[in-house]
Amino acid sequence: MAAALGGVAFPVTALFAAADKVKIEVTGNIKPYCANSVTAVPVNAGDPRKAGSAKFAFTVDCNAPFQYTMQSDNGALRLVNAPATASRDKIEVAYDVHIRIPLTLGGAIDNKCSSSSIKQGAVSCKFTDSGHKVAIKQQAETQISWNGTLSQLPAGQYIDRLTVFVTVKL
Amino acid sequence: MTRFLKVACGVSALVLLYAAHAAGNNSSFQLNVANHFPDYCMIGGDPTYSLDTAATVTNSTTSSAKIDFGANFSNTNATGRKMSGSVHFTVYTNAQCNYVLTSAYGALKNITAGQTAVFRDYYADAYDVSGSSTLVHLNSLSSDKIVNQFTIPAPLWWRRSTVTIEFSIPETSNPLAAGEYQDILLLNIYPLI
Repeated sequence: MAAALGGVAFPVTALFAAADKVKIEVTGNIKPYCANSVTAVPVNAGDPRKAGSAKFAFTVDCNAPFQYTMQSDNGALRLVNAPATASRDKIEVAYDVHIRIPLTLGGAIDNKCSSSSIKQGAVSCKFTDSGHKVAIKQQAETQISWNGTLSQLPAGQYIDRLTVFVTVKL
Repeated sequence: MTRFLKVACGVSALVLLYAAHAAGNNSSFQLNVANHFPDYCMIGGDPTYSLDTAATVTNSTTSSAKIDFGANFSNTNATGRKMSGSVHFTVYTNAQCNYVLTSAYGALKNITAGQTAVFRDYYADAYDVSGSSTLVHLNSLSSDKIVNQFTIPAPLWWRRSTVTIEFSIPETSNPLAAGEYQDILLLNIYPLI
């Protein structure tokens, strides 16, 4: 406010702002989850006396960083209905397992383990987690492979069962 | 006693009150108001909200608010839930006003640590309710993206307009990465001189 000539002159412009603005923040939350957290897959090797391999796929659907483990029922391909007295090297064939889980926005988890290192109750194989990444509806692949064995294996069906556990990384 | 009141242009009630106060003191004065009203485009009153999905409106003032959809942002399987809403506010103008709506992220951005480059598309626009609007698809990764700008002509004297910021978030068929998603819509209103 300023006085002039015995009167007053108002700086009217100071009474009003000429411009204005509105700020609207829109937010929402999505909780972390992993679907199909347990997947069990039977493995049938056919004739394990010859070298061979088998593949199977499973879906990983985690919208948050996750970790996983895989375990084997037998720790090897094992003869169905094997005699209880048979030594393990006569009824079991070890194998290697290669797991690959693609990640959303690129990259993949890639792990290799021996069957003995994923035996239920004695898992020692190191599984990589997804870091900061996620895997939304990604098709994971597992390949098992075994070498032919020189030992005389009884004829029959050799099987194992692999189970994959996927959980949100805390 | 000389009393001379010269009003060159519009005089506010505050000016008149001051003049009356000065006259009551029995003093001689001359009041010259040679200024004129500036061009203005001003928001008046608190905005109103129309939201189709349960949301919490916090920190609401005349010029800002946070609309939080919380866990309603997605379904239980983490697919994105459909949502829409609008914010209406009154603008007083005596001039031609320009409106510019910008988006901070050009989409709803996952701002949780580690979730870089994760976005959810949506649509938004701002418009005078006397006109029509087509919502603009925000799916860009650019920041400070201009969504829309428009001009409302100057009124003869003054005008009260209702301006709306509207947004629509489509559902998604695929699950979305976990975290907090955010965008900030900023509508700047200023006289076009």
